[in-house]
This record gives sequence, C-alpha cells and structure tokens, in this order.
Amino acid sequence: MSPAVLAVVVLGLYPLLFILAAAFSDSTLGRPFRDWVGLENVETVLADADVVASFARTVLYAAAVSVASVVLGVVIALALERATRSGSVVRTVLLLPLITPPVVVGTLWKLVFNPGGGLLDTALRAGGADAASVAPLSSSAWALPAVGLADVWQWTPLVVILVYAALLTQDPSVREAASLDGAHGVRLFGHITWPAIAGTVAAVLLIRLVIALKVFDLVFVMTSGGPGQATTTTSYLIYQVALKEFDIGRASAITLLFAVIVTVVVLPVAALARRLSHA
Amino acid sequence: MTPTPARGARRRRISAAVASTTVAALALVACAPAAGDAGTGDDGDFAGQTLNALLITSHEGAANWLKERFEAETGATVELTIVPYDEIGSTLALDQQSGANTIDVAAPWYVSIGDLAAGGSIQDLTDWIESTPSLQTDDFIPSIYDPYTLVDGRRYGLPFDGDTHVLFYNKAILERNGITEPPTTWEEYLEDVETITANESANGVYGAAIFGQKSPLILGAAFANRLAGFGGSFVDESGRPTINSPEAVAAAQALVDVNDVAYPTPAETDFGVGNGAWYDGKVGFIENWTDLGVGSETNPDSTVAGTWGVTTLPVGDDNTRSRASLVAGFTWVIAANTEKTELAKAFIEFATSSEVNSALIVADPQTGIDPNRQSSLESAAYGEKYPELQRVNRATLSGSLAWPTGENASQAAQILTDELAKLLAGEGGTAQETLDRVQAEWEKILG
Amino acid sequence: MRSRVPRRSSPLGTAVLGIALLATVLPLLYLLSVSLMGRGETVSGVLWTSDPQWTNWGDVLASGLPRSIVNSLVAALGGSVLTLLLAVPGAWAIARYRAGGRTLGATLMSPWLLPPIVAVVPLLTLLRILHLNNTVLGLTLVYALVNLPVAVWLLEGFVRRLPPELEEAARVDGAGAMRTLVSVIAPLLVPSVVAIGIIVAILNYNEFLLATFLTQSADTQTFPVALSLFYGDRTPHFGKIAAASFLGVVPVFAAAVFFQRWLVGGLTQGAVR
Repeated sequence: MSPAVLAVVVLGLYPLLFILAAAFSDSTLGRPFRDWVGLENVETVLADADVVASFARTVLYAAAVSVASVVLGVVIALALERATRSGSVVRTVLLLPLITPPVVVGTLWKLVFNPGGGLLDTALRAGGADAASVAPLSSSAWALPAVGLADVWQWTPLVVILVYAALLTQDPSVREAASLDGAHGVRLFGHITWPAIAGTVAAVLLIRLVIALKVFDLVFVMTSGGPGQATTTTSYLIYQVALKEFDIGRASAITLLFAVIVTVVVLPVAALARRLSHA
Repeated sequence: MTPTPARGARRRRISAAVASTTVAALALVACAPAAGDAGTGDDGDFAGQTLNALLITSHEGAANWLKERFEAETGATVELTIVPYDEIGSTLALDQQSGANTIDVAAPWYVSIGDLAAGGSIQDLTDWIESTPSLQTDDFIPSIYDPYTLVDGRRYGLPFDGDTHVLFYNKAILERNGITEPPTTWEEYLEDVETITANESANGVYGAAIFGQKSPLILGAAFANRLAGFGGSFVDESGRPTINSPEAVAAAQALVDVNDVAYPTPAETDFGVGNGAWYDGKVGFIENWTDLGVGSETNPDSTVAGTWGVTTLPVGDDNTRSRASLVAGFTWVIAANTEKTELAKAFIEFATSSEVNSALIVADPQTGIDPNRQSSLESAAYGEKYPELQRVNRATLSGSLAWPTGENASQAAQILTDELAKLLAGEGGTAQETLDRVQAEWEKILG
Repeated sequence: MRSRVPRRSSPLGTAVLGIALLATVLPLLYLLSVSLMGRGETVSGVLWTSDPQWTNWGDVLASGLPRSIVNSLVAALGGSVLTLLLAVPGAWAIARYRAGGRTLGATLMSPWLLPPIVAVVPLLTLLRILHLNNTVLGLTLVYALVNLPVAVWLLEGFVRRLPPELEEAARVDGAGAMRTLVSVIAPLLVPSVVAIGIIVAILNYNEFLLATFLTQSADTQTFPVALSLFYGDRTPHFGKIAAASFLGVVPVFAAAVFFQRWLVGGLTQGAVR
C-alpha cells in the first residue's frame, strides 16, 4: 500500500509545489521559473483593482448561490419526504440537473436567455411585455444573477439528495411521538427535524460553497466574463491570465491569494459542520 | 488513425466536396502561369511519416483541404488537432514546455508569436526563409508579411490567413431605409445604423452587429477597425504605446456610440452570433473577415446570397484614407522541439504557397482563408468569383494597422480588451480615462 | 427499505414538488425542442418546431461526439473506481487511527479548495513523464486524484459510524489491519462507497477545464470538450449544439434511476446503526 500512497502524494503534491514556486517567480507558460522575484507577483496582483474586485465578486456570488441552493434543497427534500406518494420517478427527475455537465447547463440557459427568441424572451412577449431588450447576459446588473440561476439549477439536486437521505435516517418513532404531542409545522421542524439534519446541511453547505467559489465552466460558456467585468470570477480570471496572457507567475499568485480567501470563508462553515455532525 | 475532428459527419461530407473541388483547384494550379514546384519535393519523399498540425476551429475546413492535398502529394500522413481560436497559443506552449512535443506545426494568431518565441515554443525560421527562394516571400502582401512573422528582426513563421476586416452591408435593408450609398465615414455609419434600428428593431432587425465578446480577436477587432479608420495606431514606429492618442479615444468613443443601437447582445456577440445574425438577414452592417462574402454566397444557412455588398472600412475625423485592419490573421509556425523539421518546412511551404492560397480563397465550401499573397489576391479566379472582395482586399496593399507582436503582446491585447469591455459596460469612466489606463499598463509591459 | 407509519401527504409539500419538477423539466424540454429546430427557428421565438429537423441528431450522431461520450464515461467511471480504491483505506486510517490527526484531514482537503487552472501545467508534465499525455488513461488518473480529497472527507463520516466493536472482534481473532479492512470494514461500507462513487463519477463526467488541456486529439476528447468546439464554428447552429448537448446527457439520464436508488440507499446507511 505504501508505494501507492507515496505515488499519490507525489502526484498530488507536485502541482501544489509548482503553484507555490511559480507564484514567487517570473514564469511564463513556455518558460516557468525564469527568475525568482520574491513578492513581486503578489504585489502586482494586489495592486490590480480588477483582481481584488473578482475576489469580492466571487465570494458574494458563492455565498448567494450556496445559500439559495441549500434553502431550496432543504425545502424540496422536506417536501419529498412529506409527499409519501412521490416515488422514485420524482426523485430521479429532480436529480437530472446534477448529472448534466456544466457546459451543457451553460448552453441550455444561454438558449433560454437568448434575446432573439429564447424561452424567456418568447414567454415575456407572449405575456404582452415589450421584451425587445430583455438580454440578461448582456446586462451588467443581471448577468451574474443569470449565471447564478444556472448554478443553483444545477447543484440544488445535490443538496436535495443528501438532505433527503439524512431525513430518512431520523427515527420515525421520535417524530410520531412528537406529533402526537401536538407538535406541528415550524415547531416540529425546529425541535425534531432540524437537529437531525443540521450536520448534513452544514456539510452540504460546505461542499456547495467550495464548488461555487471555483465556478468556471458556466462563465466560460455563458458570458466569457463580461459584460465588462460583471461575471469575471476569480477562476475565469486565473484562466485568462494563465492561458491567454501566458503569465503563469501572476496566475499562481492569484491562485494562492484566492486560497487564503477560500480558507477564511470555508473554515467557519467546516467547523460548524464538524460541531453539528458530532453533536 | 483517422483524425476525425469533432464534427466528423459534416466534415466528411465537406471532405467529399473538397475532393471534387480539389480537381478544379488542380486544374487551376496547372493552368496558372509560373506555378512552379511548391517545394514539396518529389512524390513520396515523406511517405510513412506523420505530421501533427494544430489549428483553430474556424480553420477546420482549410485544415482538411490541406491534409488531403498534402497527403496525396507527399505520401505523408497529416494528423489534425483542432482547438478553439483563443486556446491555440497556450496549447502549443503547453505542449512544448511539458516535453510532450506532440505538435509539429501550428497556425496561431500572429499576435502571439512574440510570446511563443520568448517562451521557446517555436523555431526561428529566419535562415531557412532567407535561403529558400522557392518561398517567394516577395509575393506576400507586404503589410501582412512583416507583422505576421517578424519579431525583433527575426522571422518565426509564414502568413497563412490574411484576415483583414471590411464592412459588409445588406443591400435590401439599406434600400428599405432609404440609404443609397454605403457609408464612408464612421459618422455616416452611425447615422445609418441609428436609422435602421429605429425603423426595424421592432421586427428584430438592427443596424449593425458589433463584435462585443470579451476576447481580443472579437472585441479587440471591433476597436482596431475604428482605430485604423481614425488614423491611429497601437504603438508608434519605435514600438512605444500610443493607445491614448486622440485618434484612439475617438475610435473607442465611436464603438461606445454604436453599441447602444446595435444588435442587442453586444456583450455576448462572438463571431458566431454576429455571423448568424448576418446570414439570417437581421443586421444592416457587419464588420467581418473578407471571407464572409464567400460564406454569404455558399453557406447553406445564408439568406443573404446576392443581396449583400462590401466596402472598405469607414474613416473618421481628419483621416480620409481607409486602412486595412489586421485584426485576426494566422501564421504558420514550426514547433521548437519537433523532430520533423524538414517535413514541417515542406508542409508550411506548401500551405502558404501562392497556388494553395489561390485555391483556398475560392474553395466551396468556404475555408475561412483570406488572401496572403499579391498573386492570389490578383488571381483571375478570385477576381472572377468575388470581384468585390478582391477590390476591398486591395486595401491591404497600401499599408495597414497591425497589433504589436513582441513579448507580452498577448497580455497587452487582453488588457485593452478588458478595459474596452468595461467601457462598453459603463464601468470604465470615459473613453479617455479607459485608454489612459491601458497606456499606463502597456508602458509597463511593452518595449 | 424502511417501515414508516403512513401519513397524509401535505398539500404544501405536493405544491413544492410540483414547482421543483416544473423548474427542472422545463429547461430540459426546451433544450430538446431546440435540438429539433432549423437554424432560422432558433432565433425566431418558436417554442416547438412544426418541422422537426432530425438531421441535427443524425449529423451529431455521425460525428466524433459519440466517441467523446465513450471517452467521458471511461474517464468518469475509471477515475471514480481508482478514487475509491485509495479513499477507502485512507478514510479508514484517518477515522480509526487518527492518522495525522485533524491536520492531515484538513491538509488532504485543501487542494480541492483551489481552482485547478494553473495545475494544468505541472499535470501535463507529469503525464508526459508517464507517457500518458493526450490519453484517456492519463485523464482518468488525474480525475482519480482530483476528487480523492472530497471522497475521503465524505467516506470518513461513514467509517466513523461503524461500531468499533466489530474491529476489536477482528483484532482479537488475530486479523491484521489489512485483513480487517478488506474482510470486515469494506463489506460494511459497500452501499456508502457506491453512493460516493456515483457522486465522484458525476463530478468527473462534468469536468471541463482539465480535459480541455489534457485531452486534445479527436480520439481522446471528452464530451464537454467536444461540445465546446461547436462554439468555434463560423456559424454555430444552435439546433445542432442543443442536439449534441442532449446526446451527451442521454447515457447518464438513462442511468439516473439507478443513481438515485443507490445514492439514497448508500447515503442512508448510517440508519443501519
């Protein structure tokens, strides 16, 4: 077993070391590590308002879509559990967005948002609205929410399935006893259901946050980071710097700084997940 | 072994069609005066060898054309790798840097050759080019040849796809709106676009499609067209950035002005969306590569066959002479670590030859290739089939606007594109402020 | 699977499910509808074509796309199996022996937090050294590693739920660590392992960025990569793009019935206790 473990460690560690080293060197795509430059890359990156803005944008985006997915997912999971007649067909259909590759999800929503006769445009026209200029992906204000909608659509099923499974593991007799005692609705949820699923919900929130913080494919397919910088998430920015500008040093510096931010964002949620699941 | 590109079915049909047009092309080559040996040596020279070529998606048709003809002529096998247009440079650099060395020749965007050379990804071809008269480099259109191949006095490739932008207009739409003459200045153009959009946008027809997607080849092109028209330039003779000149600011402002009345998705209009709107007859004007005219006639999706016209790019302010704008443009380069340099040289000599370029620019289905040589530009077949395209393409003969190509040029192009995107989205302040920021950044990284 | 006292289904719950189903299905149906449209119809506000263009599907089926779907399935499933082979012992060691304490668990998790873009450069070099660049096998290996942290993290929770007495009994019987793992622990974990394997396989099947740069030849491209090339076309045909998109999800949709059953079954395994 140990040679395999060693191989894994090497394969896993080398890319990390590469990023670390590149962040402190003058590195291009063709010639990494041309020169050690200390903190120059980090300073350049921190002085770049677009980079800093992408950090804030990405964190806000991730927080918004994660919370939206988790809230929706919990509600749907509860409904699934309550609607006893819903069978495996319903669960299967609800799972479909999760197993649709983001490149397809991006394509799909791009078609829906297409101002020249997409689903949204056609529906609005049918509703009598003057929809001549409904183009969410071309609007600085709406482009990011539009990408977020696709993101929520794609990943909410993961929350549903994990929370639903957690709901099934709670002891039905506890719940029956509580409802015989007259606990209903909100009280039943607060006292019985929530404690049973809180750990899972926190863990799902964690996974969901990390995936949202790394969002790339949807932006790539739907907006190329535009209009302006409106949808330039940090992952898209790193892609642009590394593979379109050939600057591996700067891209690594952004990656490292982003790692710090991700850790700061994720750690409290991870701690929460740990506490709740061991409660 | 069959290098079937992503869309094999359609491509295979195209290949069959290519095969038949090849016969015609061969006849053409045979008739062409001074159609000397394209330098590929005797038949069978390279039999059994395999050449790996890297191209972009929009050159896929041309790639298959070249593959078939070159294989027939030399006995070599050509394997094609097709990647999106904004990934070809990084793909080549990664392939060489990692030591994978799977690529022998590639046709990247000319702006990236300085970075590819600095990164050790492509070969310096100066000596070979100077010592090989059969390349007939005098025949390359001068305003294309140097920008596409020369970095710091050394040559790193040979021009493949000329690729200047010209202004296409839909005659039917212009007529409906009482516009009798195509515009000659960007001011007239804006008025015409405003008229059409005001009259017909309720029916989904707009004055112009503007390439607004945040890519140097797309939004960068839309800006470069105006920069050329207003008489500005990216850098001066000595390579110093001049991107916040009054001409450049006027060009950026012209882009902002038309943006408001253009086809309503400028921010996501990549060239596919723009071309689609053009073929569907939904836009009055579109700036595009000259081969859009070929497509307008031959593309099965085109509804504008016979109803389009084309003119040189408009001018602006004091400038009265239309200049070509070398916005895209692709150059054949040889990978630094290839072990098949001779085969690679034979291939790019073949691919950039007058005979091949002449055949590619009139091929049906269209190959997406524009003239790179004076002889192909002036060839009888081109003049006969597309006289209007020939006329506007002659603009490249009298000087043109080119992007900088040295080291960091790729980054420079991206910085400009990002700032322009912000300007269009209303995030960047005025045109002057936008370009001042670009100038400051460019001064740090260029030169 | 479980016995519960039958309850009245709540109207609110049914309404929520109805809305969720509609929101899930409507965009997918629209994609299906567009996949049958001619070029002109995709930009003209038609919701369902009167003249279905089956040629869109025919063209896509006859292209390299089916091949790319096979590549994707191989890389997704192969990567998932490899991930599990490494993750099961890893999660067990971390959970039982507190190997490395909390720090190791957290450290293992950290690469998963990073955007993997720059890692393309060293990964390509590593694959080249192994002579696996531009191969589906190479991509499979990378996938196996990329999702290892999240697989270990998910599995660890399930390992913890196993009663420690089982292992003690095995140890008393003289079984070594390896045998305890293989003959006692692993069989108990099978349902959870299957569920996590499905999640990892889905993540692999969906992956786009690494595949773009690690598999470039037409023979090795994965489905998302092949699909992305359609956008570079001189005149993208949204009908064909939609048909290609749909074709790529058909195999996974077909398996979705099993996915959901195994997912729910495996993830509820904790209830065994």
